[in-house]
Amino acid sequence: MIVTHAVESTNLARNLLGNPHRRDLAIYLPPGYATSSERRYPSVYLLHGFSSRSTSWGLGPALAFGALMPPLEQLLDEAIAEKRMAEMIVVMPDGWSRFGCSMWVDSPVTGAFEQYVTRELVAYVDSHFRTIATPEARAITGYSAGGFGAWHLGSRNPDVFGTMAVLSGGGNYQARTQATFYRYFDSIYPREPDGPRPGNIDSWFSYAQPAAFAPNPDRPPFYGDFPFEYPSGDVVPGVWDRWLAFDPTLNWESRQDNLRRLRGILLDVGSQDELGLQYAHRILSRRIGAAGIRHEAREHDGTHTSHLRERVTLACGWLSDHLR
Amino acid sequence: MIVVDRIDSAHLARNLLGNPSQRDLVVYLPPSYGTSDRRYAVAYLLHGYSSRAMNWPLPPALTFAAVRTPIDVLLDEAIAAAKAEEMIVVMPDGWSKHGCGMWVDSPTTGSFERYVVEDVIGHVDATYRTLPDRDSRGVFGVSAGGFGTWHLGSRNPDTFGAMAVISGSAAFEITRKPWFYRYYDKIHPRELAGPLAGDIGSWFCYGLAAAYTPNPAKPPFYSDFPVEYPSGDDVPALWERWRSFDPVVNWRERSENLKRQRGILLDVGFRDELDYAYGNRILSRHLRAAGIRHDYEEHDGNHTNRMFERVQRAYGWLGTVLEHRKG
Repeated sequence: MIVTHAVESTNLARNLLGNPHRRDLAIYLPPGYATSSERRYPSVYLLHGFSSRSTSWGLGPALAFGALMPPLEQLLDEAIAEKRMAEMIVVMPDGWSRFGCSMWVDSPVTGAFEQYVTRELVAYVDSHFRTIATPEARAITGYSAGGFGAWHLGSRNPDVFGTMAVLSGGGNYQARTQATFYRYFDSIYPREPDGPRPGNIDSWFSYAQPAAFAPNPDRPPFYGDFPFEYPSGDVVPGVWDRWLAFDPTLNWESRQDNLRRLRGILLDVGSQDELGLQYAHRILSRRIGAAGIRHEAREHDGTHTSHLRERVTLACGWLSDHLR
Repeated sequence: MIVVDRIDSAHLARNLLGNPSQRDLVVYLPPSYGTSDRRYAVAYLLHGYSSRAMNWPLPPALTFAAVRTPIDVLLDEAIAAAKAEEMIVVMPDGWSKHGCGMWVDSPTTGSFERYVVEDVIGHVDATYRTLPDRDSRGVFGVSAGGFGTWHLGSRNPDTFGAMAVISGSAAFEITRKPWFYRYYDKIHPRELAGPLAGDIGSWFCYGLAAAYTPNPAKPPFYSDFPVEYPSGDDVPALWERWRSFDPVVNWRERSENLKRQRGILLDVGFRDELDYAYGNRILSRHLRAAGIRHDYEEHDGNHTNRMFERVQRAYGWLGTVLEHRKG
C-alpha cells in the first residue's frame, strides 16, 4: 500500500526558483504493516530521477522515457510475497525542482534537498511510522538522478543511512557533461540561451544541473552558471571545478572513511546505458575497489530505463539483506 | 497534494480496441484538506490529445507540452497568490489507442462519458470530502479535453453546474476536414493503413473516427472516415454523425441544458494554429444571440503555449461560479 502525506519543509523554503516547500511524500507500507500494531520495520529512502516526482512511483502502467512500467507497489508486494525481500517501509521523497530535478543537493537556488531528506523527512517518517529508527536499519537508494542523489546523501551521512544502493547514478562528468551542453548549444545557436525548451531534454539538464551544482544567486532568472561558455564551448574553470566536486568517481576519495562505515554498497547499471553511465559505474567500482572499499558492482543487459523498476525492486531486496 | 488512485471502470471494459479499463485517477487535494473537516467543491479536469492523467502532475521535460510546472504547484499558487477558492481537482485518464477517447461513448474506444459521469464521480464522492451535487461540481479541460468539457457539460446538467472550455474544437467544417486532406496527401496512392509515425494529423483522423463514427464490423480500426478516400468527398451520413458532436451545431438542441449552467466559459488563443479561435467565436455568437449567458475570452496565444496559465485561471473562474459551503 502506498500512502501519501503532504509535508511542509523549512529547508525547502526561501529558494530562488520559487519551488514549493510543501511536498508530497509517498510511503510504501508492506502488507503486514496494517495487521501488526507493534512491529517496527527497516526503512529505505528511494530517490526518483530527472523529470519525475514522489507520486510517479505509484503509477501504473507508467510511461517514463518511453518504457512501460508496472506500479512499484505491485513489484514490492510480489517481491515480499516471494521472499525476495523482507518487509520494509519504502519512503519516496519529492525532489522535483523547476527545470526538472533538484539533483538532491543543497542549493540556495533550488532548495536544501539534502537537509530536507536527511533531517526533516527522516525525523518525520520516524515519528509518523513504526520504523526502526537507527542507521543500521535505514538505507538509501535511487535511480538515475536519484542514483546520484543516493550516492551524494549516502556517502556524506553515515550517521543517517547505514547502507546504500546506487542505481544508474551519475559521475564521470569529464567524459559526459560537455556533450550535453554542446547538444543544447547546437539546438539554440545563434540565439541566446533562454531556458529549457519543450521536448529538448539536453536543455532541461543544462539549466537544472547549474541550479544544483553551480548556483549563482546574482544571476536571474536561471540563477546558475554554465560550466562551458556559450557559444565558444570553452571550459569555465571556476564553474567546472564546482561541478567536479559532485562527481562520485572523484569525491569518493575524500569520503572514504564514511564509505567504509557502511554495511553495504551496491552499484547497479545497465551495460547498454545510452547516457554512458556504465562507464561511470565501472570507474567508480575500480577506484573504490582498489582502495579496499567493500562493495558489490552489478550490471544488467539493459538501457538507462529499460529495467528501471525491476532494478529498484532487486535493489530493495539486496538492501533488505544488508539492513538490521 | 496529489493522490493517485486506480479505478477499474465497468464502462471502459469490453471496448474493441483493447483499451485498458483500469485507469489512474489523479486527485489534487487543496492545502487545507488535511487539516479541516469541511467538504469541498470539485472540478473535473480533462486532458487533451496524446496525453494522460499523470501528465498533469509530472514535469514535462520529455514531451512537447509547453514549458510548465506541475498542476498541483500551479493550483497551490492560484490559491495562495490569486486567492482562488480551495477546490478538489479530479483528473481522469482519457487515453485511447490512436491518442484519445475524446471523452465520448463509443463501442470502439470505450464509454468515456459514462466512465467520468458514473465511475469516476462515484468513486470521488465516496472517497473524498466533496460537496456531492451539481451546484458544487464543475468540469474544465484543454484542447480535446475542452471538447470533452463541452460534451459532458452540455449533456449532463444534473451532474455539472459549471463548465470552462479551454481551446476546445468547434466548427468541424473548418477544422476537421483539412486533417483528412493532409493525411490523404501523405499516403496517396497507397491504402489507408493506420496512423503515421510523427504525423499527428493522421492520429487525429483515426482517433476521432473511433470516437465519432465507430464501426464494430470493421476491424482493425473499427471506425469509418467521414471524408472519402481518395476523392475527399463527404460521406453524408458519416459527416452528419460528426457534425452532431460539433458545438456550433449541437448547442441548439442542448440550449435548455446550457441555460441551467451557473457559468460557461469559452477561452481560446487567437493565434491557435488549429484555427479553433473561429469555432469559438462562432459558438459564442450563436449563444449570445440565443440569450445563453456565458463568458468569452480570447488570449494572445496559440493552441498550447499558455495552456497551463489558462488552466490556472479557469480554476479560479470555476471557484467563483460554483457553490462552496464552509461550515
